[in-house]
Amino acid sequence: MKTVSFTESQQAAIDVSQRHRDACVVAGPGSGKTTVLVEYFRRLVEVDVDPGRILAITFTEKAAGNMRAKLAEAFQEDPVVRAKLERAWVSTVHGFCARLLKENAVLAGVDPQFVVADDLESARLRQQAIDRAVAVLFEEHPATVRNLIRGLSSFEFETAVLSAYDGMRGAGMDIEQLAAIPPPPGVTRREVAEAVEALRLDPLDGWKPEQKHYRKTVLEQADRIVAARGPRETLLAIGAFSVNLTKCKQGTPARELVRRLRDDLIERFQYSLISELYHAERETLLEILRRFDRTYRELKRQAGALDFADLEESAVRLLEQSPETRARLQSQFEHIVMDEFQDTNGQQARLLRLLRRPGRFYAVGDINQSIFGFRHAEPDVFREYRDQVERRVDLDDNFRSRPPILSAVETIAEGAAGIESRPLTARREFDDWREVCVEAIAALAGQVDAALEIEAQWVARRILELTGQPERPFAFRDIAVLVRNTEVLGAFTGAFDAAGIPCVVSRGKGFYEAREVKDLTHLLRVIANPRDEMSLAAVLRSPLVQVSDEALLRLKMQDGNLGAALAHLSSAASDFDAGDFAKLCRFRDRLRGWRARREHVSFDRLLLAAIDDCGYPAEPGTRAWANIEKLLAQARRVTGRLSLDQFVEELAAVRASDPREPDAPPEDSANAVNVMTVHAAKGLEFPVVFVSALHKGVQTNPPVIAFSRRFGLGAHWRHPASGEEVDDLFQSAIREERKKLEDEESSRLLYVAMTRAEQHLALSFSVVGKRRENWVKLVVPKLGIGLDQPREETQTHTAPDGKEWKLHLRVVDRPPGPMSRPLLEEIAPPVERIAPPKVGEQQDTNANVTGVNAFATCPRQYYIGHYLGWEGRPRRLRDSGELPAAELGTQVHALLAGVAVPDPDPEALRLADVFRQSPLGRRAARAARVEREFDFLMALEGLVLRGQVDLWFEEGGDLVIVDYKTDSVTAHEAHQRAQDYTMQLRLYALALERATGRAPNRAWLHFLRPNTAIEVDLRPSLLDAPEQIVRDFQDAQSRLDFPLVEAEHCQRCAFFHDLCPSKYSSSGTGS
Amino acid sequence: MRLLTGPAGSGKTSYVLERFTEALRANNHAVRLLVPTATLAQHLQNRVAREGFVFRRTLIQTLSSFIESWAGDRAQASGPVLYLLVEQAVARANRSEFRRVAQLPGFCAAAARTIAEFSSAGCDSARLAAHLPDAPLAAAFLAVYREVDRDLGRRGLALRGQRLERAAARIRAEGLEQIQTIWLDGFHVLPDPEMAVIEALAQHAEITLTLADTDAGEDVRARLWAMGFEEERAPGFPPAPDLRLVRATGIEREADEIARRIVEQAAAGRPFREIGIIVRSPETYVPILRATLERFGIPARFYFDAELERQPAVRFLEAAVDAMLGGWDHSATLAALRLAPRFAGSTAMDRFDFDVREQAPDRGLGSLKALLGDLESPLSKLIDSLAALEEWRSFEMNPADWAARFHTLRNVFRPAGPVEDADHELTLLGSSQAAALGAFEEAARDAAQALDPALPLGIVEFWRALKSVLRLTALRAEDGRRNVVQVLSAHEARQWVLPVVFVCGMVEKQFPQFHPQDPFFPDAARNALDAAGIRVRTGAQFEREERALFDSAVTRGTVEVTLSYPESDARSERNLPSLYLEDLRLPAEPARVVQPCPRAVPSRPVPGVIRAPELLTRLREKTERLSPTGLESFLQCPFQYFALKILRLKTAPLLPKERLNFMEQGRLIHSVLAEWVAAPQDIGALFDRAFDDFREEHRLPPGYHTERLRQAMRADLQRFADRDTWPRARFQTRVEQPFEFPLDESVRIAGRIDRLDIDADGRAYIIDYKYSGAQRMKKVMGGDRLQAPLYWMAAERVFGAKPAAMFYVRLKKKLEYAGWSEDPALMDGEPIPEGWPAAAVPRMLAMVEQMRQGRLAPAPADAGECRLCDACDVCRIEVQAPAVFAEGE
Ligand code: SF4
Repeated sequence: MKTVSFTESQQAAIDVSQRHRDACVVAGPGSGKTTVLVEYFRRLVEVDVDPGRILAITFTEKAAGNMRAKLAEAFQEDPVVRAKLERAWVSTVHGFCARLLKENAVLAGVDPQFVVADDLESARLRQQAIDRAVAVLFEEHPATVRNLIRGLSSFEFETAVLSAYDGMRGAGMDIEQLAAIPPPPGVTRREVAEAVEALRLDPLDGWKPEQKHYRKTVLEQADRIVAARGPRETLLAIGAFSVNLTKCKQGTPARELVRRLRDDLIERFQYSLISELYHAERETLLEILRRFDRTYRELKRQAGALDFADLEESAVRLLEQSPETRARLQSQFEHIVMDEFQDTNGQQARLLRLLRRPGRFYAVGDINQSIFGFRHAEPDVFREYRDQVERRVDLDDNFRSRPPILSAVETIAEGAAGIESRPLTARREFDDWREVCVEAIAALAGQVDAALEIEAQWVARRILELTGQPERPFAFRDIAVLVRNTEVLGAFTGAFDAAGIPCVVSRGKGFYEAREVKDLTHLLRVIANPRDEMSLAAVLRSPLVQVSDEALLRLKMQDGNLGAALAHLSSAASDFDAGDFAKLCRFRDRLRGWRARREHVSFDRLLLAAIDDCGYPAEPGTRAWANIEKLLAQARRVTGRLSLDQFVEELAAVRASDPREPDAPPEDSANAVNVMTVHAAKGLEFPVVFVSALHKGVQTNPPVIAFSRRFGLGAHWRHPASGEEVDDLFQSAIREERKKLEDEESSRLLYVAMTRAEQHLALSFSVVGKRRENWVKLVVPKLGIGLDQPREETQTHTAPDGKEWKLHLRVVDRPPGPMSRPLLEEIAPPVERIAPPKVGEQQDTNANVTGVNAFATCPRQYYIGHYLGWEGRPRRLRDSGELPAAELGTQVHALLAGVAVPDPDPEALRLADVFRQSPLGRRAARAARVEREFDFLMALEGLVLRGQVDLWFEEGGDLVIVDYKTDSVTAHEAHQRAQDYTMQLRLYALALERATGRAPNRAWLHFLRPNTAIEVDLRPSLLDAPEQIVRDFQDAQSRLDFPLVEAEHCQRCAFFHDLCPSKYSSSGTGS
Repeated sequence: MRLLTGPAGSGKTSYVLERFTEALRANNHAVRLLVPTATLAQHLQNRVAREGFVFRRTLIQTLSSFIESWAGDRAQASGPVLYLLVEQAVARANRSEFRRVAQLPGFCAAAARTIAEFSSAGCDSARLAAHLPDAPLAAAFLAVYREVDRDLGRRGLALRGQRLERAAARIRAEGLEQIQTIWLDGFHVLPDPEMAVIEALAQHAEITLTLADTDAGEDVRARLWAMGFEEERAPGFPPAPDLRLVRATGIEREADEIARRIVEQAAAGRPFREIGIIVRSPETYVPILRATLERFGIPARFYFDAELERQPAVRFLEAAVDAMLGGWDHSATLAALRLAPRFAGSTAMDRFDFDVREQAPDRGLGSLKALLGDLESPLSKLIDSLAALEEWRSFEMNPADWAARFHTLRNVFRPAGPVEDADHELTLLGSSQAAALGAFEEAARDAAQALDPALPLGIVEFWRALKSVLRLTALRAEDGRRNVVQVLSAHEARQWVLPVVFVCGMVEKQFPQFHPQDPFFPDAARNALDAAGIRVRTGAQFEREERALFDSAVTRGTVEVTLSYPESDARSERNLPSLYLEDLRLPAEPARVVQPCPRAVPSRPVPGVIRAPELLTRLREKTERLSPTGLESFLQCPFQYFALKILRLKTAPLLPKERLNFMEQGRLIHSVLAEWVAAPQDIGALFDRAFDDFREEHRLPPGYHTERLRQAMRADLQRFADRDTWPRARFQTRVEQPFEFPLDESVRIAGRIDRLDIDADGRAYIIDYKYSGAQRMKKVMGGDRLQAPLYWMAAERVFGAKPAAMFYVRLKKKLEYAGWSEDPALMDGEPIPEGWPAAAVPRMLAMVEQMRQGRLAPAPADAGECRLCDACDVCRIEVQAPAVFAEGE
């Protein structure tokens, strides 16, 4: 390992002499956290802790990989430790759980061969489960479900239920625990009544008569609310409650009372009433959750799959229910090292508690970087730990960013909600000095979309400037564009595409909408069924075919359906443009080929064949190609598991569900700008960072059904009078909670985003009128940016610590002028085109004599029956006791070879006897030398032939070959059939000649059923010499050319009139 | 007794072959060359045959087939049979430890695997009982193992280890007939049963055993010495191939690079057969290598098993039986039919497919055939052949009879005839399907073997067992081509030596593979067993074997060995290069970025316009009569109009749950309103009836969303009925009024007015219902819209009325009127626009002119609407590059 000098605080953090005390390292951004973690691990090993006894948990796979790589490097010279690292427990929580469960599957009650369901798979199972759960409940209790829908009618019902379910499991809760959470206290009727009473008793000092009169109106309305019976009536009364504050005297306690009544008490009283009114429906909701849970678990069980929540849950259960296992693991893990502790959720925290032994926990984290609240992370767990633990080390030095960037961050984040103020000390040394490292771009327009477009184009322009001539300080890959909401990604990638800036988008949701993904998806749909005209038209107009619209119209005019028209396109259709016609025909033929293979080859191969056949324009290194490869990988995964139809349907369903499926991940070698969300950028750093679309936040209102660990399950329901949606008590509490959380997390997210930058930080946003949203609300006032008119200037700011820094500000109201696009070689290395190699000698290494013999009779018959291996005639169900022909033959051969046949068939015994009693049989019995069942190998013309001579014997100086046949034929038929076996016996003769050194003299075919022995002429003619046949045979195999020989034997052929197109007829019309 | 050792590649096999051919030359047939696998046996046989010898095949064979005649009459239980036996044993043993997992599919598989492993190590349940280690699950496992052993006996079956031991005993006692010399070559591990056979052979024949140094551990040597073996070193030296290391960004680039290098080798004259690719993680690499090699035109043979149940032929048969058992649910039956190879490209099937989906959900073969019409068509015959399965449901038979019956199932699978100009790929696919059918029958036999032979059972039970067997059976496609690249597993590769070898996937956890602990016997227990003389695999041993595999892999190449690894995995997480690479200290060459030459060059997109005179004539015909919606569609986007109105492109039938889409909702609402306005009544009841009819007719699935929509639509209608403030009494009302009138001499406009209210003075008030949201209402009120002026004209010209107002009525979620009226007090109508409707006519005529000139390039008036456009995937609007940036130099 390189010698690194550690700062004082880092020294403290890696001090292993303190290893027997729980520790908390508070690590600011860029503070060398990973280095510290690795060093701590290394030092533990140095003091003789076995690497297998350290459990290191990171937040992402990337971080785990990174850590393993660094550890491997650190111990490269120590093979023993290095080898142990292979088995070390350095992984994400899920990785850890998966391994733990694999090794303790039976104790944990999980399938020992479980697979971890990926997002697509689990989404599919969940959808199925929720559909089923609701459908069954509906079938059993239609009225109950109808009532539920009356109160809670939402397009997003399922999504909301599922997300609540996820939240619940992440928190380590089950449905019964959820159901047991009591409602938070709400406003009671009594409180309202008291307020009304107070208003009634108020002396109304200084009120004018008409104002006093107005109180009466108010009181009447309020009384109606107080007096109403039951929640529905009360809500109706509230619906009719309408108060105009201006009719009350300003600045009086009574007016304040009225205001409180209207805006607070009655408003909140509604939540209580809604809760009461929809009590039964809430129970239905819980019942749906229960049933969903059951069904989903069952589906996973059948699939042998666990999702991420199962991993955590099962691990926790294993530890809770099996004290021995817990004890074993606690003693196994002498030290637990935990990264990003602030991002753990409730379930994970529980898991850690079960694993930890006192004094051996080493946690690293930073509240300021806690940004996973939406995934139910619970930073408080970290906060508590940090504040209690004895050993705390703060790492405040920043080894990442230029000082002005840190000053800018401090200036903006100072005092923001959720940010703990801690200094960031710039410690990285740079070779050069850049005066301005921070810039801001504000785009003004009358409409949001227009402004965003302008903003994106300016960002594009700035990227070109930063990467362009003459100084060219950065490459595209050095740049990241971070946004908060993926909805704006399209604007940026659109602008980049237009500017010729290569970019890779991770964590967008553009994958299924990407052009190339759509083209290929439609191609799959067309392969599945070309009657889908929309898909066919999409493919025909795509670069896969690229025909004109005229051609489409002509095609449609041929037949009512485009697909049918394409299939039946006749050569007479000459009114097509010649180019179009050629393209259509070519595509039709290819399509036929792909369809023939549709269920045989994996779908990715179908697609690749199409891409190459059609020359679909996409090159490795581009975003389009990355997307294609991602689709191919998906296709590869499902092949064999799903049929093409199912896959096509699944793709459609996924696309329709508006998935958060990101574009394909970047290829590392690609020189491309990284476009991603801030969440995805966590843990990364880039020389240049654009934090863009600062104005675009995310929807933070809770969904129709929401979960919180504290308040449980909330929902909003239909107000019986107004029809509007009103929170129940749970939901209103959740809403409050989220709002606070959201405010805090929002600032932290910006903090994380800005601190990714090493050398240059750019902030950009769009402005419409006076509206200031999301981070703009924070940034604009902090930096005092005036937005009244376009301008460009450099401002000087002072950070909280007094340091000065410069901001280059552009306020723009129109797109930048035209710019030149980057040169191709700046973007991607050139792609080499490889011509296909010459392919020859595709014949088989081995063959059977019977196969060659069949080939000599009819190559096509050989091809279908031997090479492809198809049977011809349909199978018949045997009468019991009847032996199949092949088996009978085997028994006869065995009997004649003198092999014991247990329980032989009487017919076999009879046929064996036929031979024994025949003249040939008797001669063999007397022969000087006999060999039976001589199964041999022989090379001929490079082909290794395998054959089996039934019998050969030497008698009076003659070498005789005998082959028995058990076919059920007449004597007459036997003579016809004998010709079919000539080549076989000649090959046998050749083998025997080589084996014994002398040529056989005679050869016989003995048909046992008619008891007819037929002699075969062994003298080969020149044409069908075995060598020549074998050469033809190999040639035919290599070229896959197996012509028909239509002749009388066709009638005996199993493929006649079926798999073989032979038209032979005995009256002599064979072609 | 000779033990021939040496490092991998030191010529041990050549030595053995020399001795073997010497014997053949001397006409000595009392020899045997025994090897562990059939592939290796075939290799060696071919090698010897090519030297010109003609000899009996059995002289070179596998150890398993060699001992066949001594192993006794208990047949070997296959893996799937063992699995079924374990399943039954688990149920019988009924151990509390396993209660939670007994039903999980992977549990019995894991138990079966461990039993197979123990048995191969010569440890049956009795021996295990004698040395049962201390592990939480050991006793429960033993109970299951005992049951399995008992069952094996009852079924007349044995595991491989037992058969070997049996053969060893008999050979020891009875001798080897005339065999005098035996060579054993290619073995890597010698578990106890194999050792026992060797020991027995050694008592009756002269034995030579070869072992690589990495495989000849201390204990193996010691045992062989004890049998009287003497060690000799192999004569040769291992080759020193050129070692290279390649790094690629991902597995796709890695596979591309391997392909590139193979093409390079081939161009330099090296036959493909001299090239091998060694794969340690087949799940990751085999699919991508298949795709890539095929793509680059490289013929290759893959020595890997495929899963039988995933073979199309087997999937077809499974789907057919499942469909039958499921009562011929149409989707399931269609899924089966779709797998019938003779119909893969059939237009009749395509049409049938959509017809079935149109009518889903449904069940029964009768209604399915009714869709077909032609009862003599091949498709109809195929359905008949499925129908013949129906009676199977009523049978109760013993397992053997079921197996026989399932042998006839293949009749429903009729292969497609061979295509002309097939390539080798397609041919292999064909032959692998034939093999799959054979394996299916084998599986039926296996299933019968594992079930109680005397117990008659129904198809459901037998089918369940058969499906398990199918799931667990592997199929290896035969590919005997002589000149292909060999793609081998690291284990298989040990039997090969090739000039050029690639070893891919050299990353952490793949090579060496990560070996999790066995759930029944963790390492501590295994160490204890090992100490007791039961040689089961421990973690340490696994690691040694993994290392040996790697050492073997890199010595398979005689000229060049290229190792490679991807820098990131499929999820683009960074990979850690394999630990084994660290010792080699090779500089990594980056993979080059390559693609095969495309087989066609795409042409440039053609401008979207129609010019051919006869097509223009056609367009003129098609535009002679236009509807307001058609015109509006053109107004939004000429391409949309072309795709939806001229080409009338249809997509696949909607799924049942999609059928109540916006359009159908609108239609339903309109029809109810028409009826209600004509004859006022309880609108809720009226709607409920209409909705039920619709649901039945379209077979809507019941559920949350159907019900949600029903309630919402009902409430919307009720709101309208309750709160409509239109002064209806003043009018005479006509609903659903069709109209048609000429716009000029060449165009007629045809449409339908939802409602026309005429007052006493003959003034007409046009009402159009909109079942849509506020956004849409704003849109229809937009100044450039055509519907309103057209209706206005229709009222004038067709109905002879004098229009006084035109209102859109929004019904969804809120009742709202928006429109134009002479009387501003009427529903807050806006004043009638100047020059209405005449001003709209020239615009419309201009549009018609454009239609007729063949204008159709996508040009959405409102790009936001594209999201909702059915033609949005066809038009390719997103690839029309915006012209903001100038083209560069
Ligand atoms: S998506 Fe838009 S551009 Fe494409 S056809 Fe439809 S309306 Fe036209």
